[in-house]
Amino acid sequence: MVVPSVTGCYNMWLISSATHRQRTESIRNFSYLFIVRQKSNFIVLRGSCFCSVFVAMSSTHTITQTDASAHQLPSNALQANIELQHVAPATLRDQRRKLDDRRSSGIEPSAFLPQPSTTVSVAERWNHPKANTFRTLAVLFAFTIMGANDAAYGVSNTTLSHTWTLLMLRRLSFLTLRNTTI
Amino acid sequence: MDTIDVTQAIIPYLEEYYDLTYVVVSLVFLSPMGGYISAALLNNWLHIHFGQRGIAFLGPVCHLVAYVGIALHPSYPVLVILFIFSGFGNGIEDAAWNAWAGSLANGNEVLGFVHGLYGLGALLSPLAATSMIAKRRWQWYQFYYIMVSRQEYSIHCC
Repeated sequence: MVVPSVTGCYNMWLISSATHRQRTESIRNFSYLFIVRQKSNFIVLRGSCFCSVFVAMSSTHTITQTDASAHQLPSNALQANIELQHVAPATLRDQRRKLDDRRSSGIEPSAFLPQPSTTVSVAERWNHPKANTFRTLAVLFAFTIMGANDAAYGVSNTTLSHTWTLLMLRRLSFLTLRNTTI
Repeated sequence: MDTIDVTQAIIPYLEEYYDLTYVVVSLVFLSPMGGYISAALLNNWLHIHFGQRGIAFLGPVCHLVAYVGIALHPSYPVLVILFIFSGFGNGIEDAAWNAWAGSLANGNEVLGFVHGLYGLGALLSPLAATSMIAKRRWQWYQFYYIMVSRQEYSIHCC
C-alpha cells in the first residue's frame, strides 16, 4: 500500500511494510516505512519529524525509517525539478542592436518577450497619478452638489418637520432625564 | 435618500408661487425620477460613446441647464421638465463617480468620503435655501448657479 503524503517538495512516501530496518516499537501489527528521496540527511531528519507528527495525528503506531538509497522511486515520480536557467543578456541585446540598425526606434525590447501567464491589475490610488487628486476632489464636490440638489425640495418645515423635531426633542429630553435620575 | 432629507424645502414656496395643489407640486419629485431612470438606461451607451470625460461634461451641463432654467422661474410644466434634466445629471454622475471611486485603492474609504460629502451637501442646501428664500425669493437659485458652474469647471479641468 502506497500512501503519498502531501509534504511540499520533499516528496515523501509512506509504505506499509515491515521488512526494513525497524527502529521503533510496534504496538499493533502496523508498521510504516518512511522513505525520503532526497539525499541530504537534513531533509531526511525534517521529513521524519513531519512523519512522526503525521503518524501521531492519524493514530498509527510505528515509524520505520530506511536510508534513501535503499528504495529508489521511479524517476517519473512526483518530484518536478524546476531549474532557473541563466539566459545570456546577449540575446536581448542582439535584438536591440538589430532594431537600432534598422533605425526603427520606439519599439521596446520587451515586446519580443512572451507575455506573462499571470497579469495583475493594480488599482489606482486616489492621489497617485497627480490628476487623480483633482478628480477625487471634483467627485467630492460633485457629490456635495448632488446631495444639495436632492435635499433642496422636501416636506415643508412648518407643517411636518417642526412638530417632528419638537416631539423628538421632548422624547430625548425625557430619556436624558431618566438616565440622569437613575 | 430623498426621504431622509425632509428638512426644509422649496416645495411650500413653489406651491405658493405657482398656486398649485399639493398633488400637482409633487410632480417635481416624480420628474427627477424619470431623469434618473433614463440615465440608468443610457449610462452604458454614454460610457461607450463618450467615456468618463463625456459623463464629466454632460452631467454638469445637465445640472447647469436645469438650474439656469429654474433660476429663470418659468411656468410650472417647464419647471417639471427642467427637473428631469437635473435628475438625469444626477443619475449619470452618481453611477459614474461611484464606480470610479469604488475602483480605486481603498475604495471603501474613498466612497465613504464621497457619500459623506453628499450628506454634507444635503445638510447644507436646505439651510441655505431657508436662509436665502426667507430674505429674497429665488435668490437661492442664483447661488446654486454659481455652485454648479464651479462644479462644471472643476470637473472639466480634469
